[in-house]
Amino acid sequence: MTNEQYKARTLLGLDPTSPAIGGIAPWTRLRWSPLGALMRAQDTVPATSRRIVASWSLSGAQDWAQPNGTNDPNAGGASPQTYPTNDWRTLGVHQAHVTPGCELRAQVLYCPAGLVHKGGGPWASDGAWGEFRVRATWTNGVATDGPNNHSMMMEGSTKGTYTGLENSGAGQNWSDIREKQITDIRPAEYLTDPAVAVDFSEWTDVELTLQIRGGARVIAVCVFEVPRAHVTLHSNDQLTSVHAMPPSNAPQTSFPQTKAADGTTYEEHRFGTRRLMQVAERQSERLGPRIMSMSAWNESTIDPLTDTEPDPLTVQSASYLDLITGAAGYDLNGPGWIVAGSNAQLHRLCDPRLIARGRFAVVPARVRVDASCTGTGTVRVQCGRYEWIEIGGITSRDVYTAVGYLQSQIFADHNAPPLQVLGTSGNASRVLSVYGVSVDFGQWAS
Amino acid sequence: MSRAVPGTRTGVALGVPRATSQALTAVQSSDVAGPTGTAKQSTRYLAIGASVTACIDDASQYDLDMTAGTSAAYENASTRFNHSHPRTIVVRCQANNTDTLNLWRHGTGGSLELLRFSAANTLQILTNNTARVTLTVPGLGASRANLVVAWTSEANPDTTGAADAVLSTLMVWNVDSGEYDAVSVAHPTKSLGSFQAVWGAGDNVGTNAFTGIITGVLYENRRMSATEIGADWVADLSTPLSAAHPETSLQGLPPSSGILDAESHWHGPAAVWACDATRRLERRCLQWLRNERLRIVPTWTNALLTAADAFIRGAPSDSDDRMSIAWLEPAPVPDNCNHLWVRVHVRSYVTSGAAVPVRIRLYSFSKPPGALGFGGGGGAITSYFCGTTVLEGYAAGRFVSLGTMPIARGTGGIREGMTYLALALAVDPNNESGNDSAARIEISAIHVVPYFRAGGAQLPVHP
Repeated sequence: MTNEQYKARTLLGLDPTSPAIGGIAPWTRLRWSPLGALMRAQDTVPATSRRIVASWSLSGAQDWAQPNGTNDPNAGGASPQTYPTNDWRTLGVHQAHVTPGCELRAQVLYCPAGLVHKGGGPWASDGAWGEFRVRATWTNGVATDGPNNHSMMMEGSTKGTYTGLENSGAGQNWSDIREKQITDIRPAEYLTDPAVAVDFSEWTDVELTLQIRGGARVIAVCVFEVPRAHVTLHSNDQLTSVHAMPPSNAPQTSFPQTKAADGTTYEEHRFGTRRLMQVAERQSERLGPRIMSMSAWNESTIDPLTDTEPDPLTVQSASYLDLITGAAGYDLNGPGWIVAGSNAQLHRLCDPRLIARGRFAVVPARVRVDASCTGTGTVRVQCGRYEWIEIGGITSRDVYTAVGYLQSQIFADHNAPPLQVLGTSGNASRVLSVYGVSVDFGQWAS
Repeated sequence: MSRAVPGTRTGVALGVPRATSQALTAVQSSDVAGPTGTAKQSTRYLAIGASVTACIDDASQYDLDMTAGTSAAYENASTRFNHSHPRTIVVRCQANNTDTLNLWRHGTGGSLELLRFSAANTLQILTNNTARVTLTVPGLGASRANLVVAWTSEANPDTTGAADAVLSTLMVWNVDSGEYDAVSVAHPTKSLGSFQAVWGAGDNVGTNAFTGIITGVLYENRRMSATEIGADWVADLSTPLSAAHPETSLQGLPPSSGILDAESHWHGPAAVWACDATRRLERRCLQWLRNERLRIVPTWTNALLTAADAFIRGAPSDSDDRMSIAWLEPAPVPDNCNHLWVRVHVRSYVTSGAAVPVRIRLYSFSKPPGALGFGGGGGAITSYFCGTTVLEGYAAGRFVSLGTMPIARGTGGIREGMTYLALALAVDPNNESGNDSAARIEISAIHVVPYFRAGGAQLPVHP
């Protein structure tokens, strides 16, 4: 029997579906093999996650904010700045729950970068280059780690008189697409210090700041989860989302008991039905999709020479207006996001026999809003005619949070009502400014 | 507006599904009587009647009737209503802009709990004899309107102590005007005790009796969503059709580890329960691959789409399909799905003349089309697409489903398991219109949701 202080389970390479748990059926004698398979199958559930927790794209823009590179960067004298500097510019800030045992990766599509200016007076060329980074701060309510920077360089364009020239021929940016991946975005020492891994294995929050600098010409970024490893302390007999079942049957007992399986020093909770039920309970309550996140960044209006973060979306109205269109109120046929929670329907909200009867689905959600208001503002995240979450009391710049329910897809191909973000400054003479919105499945606080 | 008065049915009111609404159309303002609620596993009391004194026949599984008083239905020394949260209280009533007073009361003195019209047009809740929040009823006039009033309570996940342990939401539907509003408030846990419970007044002799008409009451041992209350009491919803069978999407009875002792006794039923839950949780982390409300919505024309623009190229399989690089995104494909469903928000119109067909497609590529092997993941590109041709009627803008398709997964290097999603537009792809230059298209949202289709592509298997 294992006798380890930390119970760890790597979550890499697990088969996604159809675990061999068919042996457990009514009127079947319980034997170890199917029960062990069931315990291992629990580990595959969070290990299937590839949830996108933050993203950025050109989002419909018809050109990059980065100048195209036709101006001489070394014009000298009193000539104005015509290219961005090496100051970081924040594309967006996203707050997210992280699926237990997962780390993050960032996939970045871009085209060769443009020119960069330095000096300040006179301005001079700093060459053609760009850089993208993810700043990650991890919290779990007790411990904090970060911000940790995870960065990648983007090579400069070699085209043009001064280099850094943007493509101009038909479709040329498509044939110039470059792609990189930033891996291993996780708390420092996660894989080398089990005590750190214990801290951040279960229901960690992460705040992700996506930033660029230099002459970046980014096309799209997605930051997503990949399973890595989950660690619990030997004495942990609480709800947990990963069973941490060893992959082999070999060292285990032939019967599913808790106490008899203990090691000589460290307790062992992984082999009984108690842990089995704890994991099923926690997974039932908490696993679900990342519902949405957005940043106010607008590639068409941002000034890469002066702006260091998005210009906020603003509302100046005593009634609720759509943050993007300015239209009054919620519109069932208007544009928005989708709440793709068909696989995360909770029994108490969506039971198909008596409660929802196949007519609707509703998921619990937590909203976090990065906003400020010159008066007292409110942001309303609404999906469906009757389901909204209000984040009120917005005054000085901060991240505000609230919980509630949102209508969801019933099936993956359900043309469900859109999620829209509305805001009011409470008074037509005040201004509500919203920089970002993050919505997670579930209502727990980390 | 004349409206049939609902509430003449008694007994267990099984909702009859009627196709009175679709997901994306407004529901409300019907002359047809709304549904009348349904007794469920968590129902503690459900009664329907022409007035509150007729709301005494319990339709819940407990069948514990209340007693008719003066302008009230009541129960002395009530324990079933001695409950703080989670719970839901619903009162269906008719009221005008002068009706006031009590819809529900439990407790006395410092334990007083009330749901009432504290003034004309104004709903209010009290717990522990303290007013918690008020809500203005929308759209009330001199004639009585049909209202549904609901008060839900649940544990506050953001509680900082006893003072905000419970999160309550007060909701009201004006069924006649089609308006709805809600407000939430945090407050302490209800002071429990065995008190008289009263619908429609402050006591059984009609003190502070509601001046309007109560036609249905519900007490639920569960926090109901507003959507559920609306579907049960305001306007029934139809069940959408689906090709993405949700075999594992519904949770089933959630497991509870509290049934086990430390020795894992009773492991047989518990194991079967956990087994069932694990199967249902199989795709619990599956989520959208693209969920974008576009920040920038240019008005596209045929000339812009076909211009020599570095951002735009034709799709590999059909150069008429014009793809902007601003609509391209990478997405990681989970191992447990093999199909995609796609919808976009489209506004399509003409500046003059006859409508012009516009084809909208979403492509799934195994690598960015036209990209060289930079960053790994070479090999031939594979692609799938789904789409539709919009003919007319989209001037106001609406969501359009593009259908479903398999997923083109990247192989090798950093493209392993990735897909690249690109939107494409083609104006008059079959040369059926002579009005191409008048076509205008705006794309405001792109949604791509994965799922598992039995008989679809085999899922990845790890060695």
